[in-house]
Amino acid sequence: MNTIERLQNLIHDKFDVDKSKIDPDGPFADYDIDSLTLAELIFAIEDEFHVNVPDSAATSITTLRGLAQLLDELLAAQAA
Amino acid sequence: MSGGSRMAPQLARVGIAGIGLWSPLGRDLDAAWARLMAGESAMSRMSFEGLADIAAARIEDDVSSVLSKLQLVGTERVSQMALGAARDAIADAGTGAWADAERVGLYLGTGMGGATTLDAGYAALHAGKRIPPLSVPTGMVNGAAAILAMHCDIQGPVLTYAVACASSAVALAEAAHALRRGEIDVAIAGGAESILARGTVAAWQALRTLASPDADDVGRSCRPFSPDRAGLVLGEGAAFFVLQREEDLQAAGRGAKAWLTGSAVRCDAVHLTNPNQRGQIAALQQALRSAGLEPGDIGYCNAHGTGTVAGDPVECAALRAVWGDDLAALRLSSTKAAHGHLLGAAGALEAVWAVQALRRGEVPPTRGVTVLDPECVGPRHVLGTGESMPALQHSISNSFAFGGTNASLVFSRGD
Repeated sequence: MNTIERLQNLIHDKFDVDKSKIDPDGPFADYDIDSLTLAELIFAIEDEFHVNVPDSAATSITTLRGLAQLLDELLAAQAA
Repeated sequence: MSGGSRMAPQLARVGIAGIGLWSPLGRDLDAAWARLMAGESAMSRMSFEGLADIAAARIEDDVSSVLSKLQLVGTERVSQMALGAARDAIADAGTGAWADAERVGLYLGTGMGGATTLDAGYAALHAGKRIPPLSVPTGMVNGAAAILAMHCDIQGPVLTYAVACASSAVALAEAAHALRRGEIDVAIAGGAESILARGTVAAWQALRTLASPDADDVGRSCRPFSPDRAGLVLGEGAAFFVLQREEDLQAAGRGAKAWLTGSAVRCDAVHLTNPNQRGQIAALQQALRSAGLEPGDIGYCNAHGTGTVAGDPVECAALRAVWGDDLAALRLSSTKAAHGHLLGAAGALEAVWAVQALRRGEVPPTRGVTVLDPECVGPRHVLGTGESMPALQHSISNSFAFGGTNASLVFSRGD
């Protein structure tokens, strides 16, 4: 399972959002993830992926693909 | 001291259009009333790690069912219960969509707001874990009001009253004032409280005001006015009313379930927790005056009656001072014996009973109590099970808070 799929599963489990609605390239708002929900999501991601997501991510990242790329970079940096 | 008129000005009557409750006795008003009248108790034993067991009156329904998983973000138990009860009140009123949402106000009383969120957050932090990111907006004392405003489209004043055990009685009084002065056309008023979390319960235990669970019958742990009373029992829940002016009810072709004819809020200004007769007398007298009624006009009093050693005799003394020779005819009960002390939501839930007594012509009991403390005698206590009282025209509900604020609400029979 790639990072985008893991995130889609996490969003579905946590917020009951239909996975088919979660377009990796669409804005979070398209599937009703607002700023507060994103804060909750990042908190859950940090638990699930064992990473620290920087505060700036919550405002600079607007799509799931962007979030997945950041996570992959953070995980790669941790592994290095 | 300046004078000023003490006569009640001629103002619009404020009527109750809808009632909603999520209480330890249930969500259905008629069913909850039947349980209350029958002398049932909603209390059970509750355990928290490292603490002595408590008696508590809990909501058994799944309160999170009021919203979808996505909508639950930023809500907690108190806002979920508040939303459930407020929606039920609005549905009961049958008002439908607001004609002008900016003319609808919310008046919500709560003692500790999002206490369970803060409790869980600090517990996590002190255990070396992280505090969840929405702890501030979810736990803030006006969090529930904000959630209600969003989901019920309330765009007028959205206010939270934190006056401990008088919170929602004060909220109801303030809502009626706002209607009378024409600031709004519809008020959603009531309260919610949810504090049955480990840290908050521990703090209450430390204050030594909680009754221990009765070993033989946990339902009899709170015994207001009884010589063996031993403290209060914590409850949780929410109750809301939809209030409108008489002219608007008439224009809509609806009657009032009852009238909120008078109210008063007065402070002891003496002690953080000890009740004071003078402040209670002041609230009772002004509430009657604002309703244009004499003590003898009131048929039923829903007492504050928490079941503490210190509190109950002071309330009875205050009633004695105001009612005088009329006290013997005043039916009195503390329904906290059945549903516990809902703290910030107590005033609203007990107002529901004061209103229901008028609608049904029957008065609820102080359940589980058979013998009275000599310091509490005087009024006509309703004990055990409820009584029929078809001639009941006016009732009063008392909420006397930590911090010294005393609120009394007077209700009169509706159409």
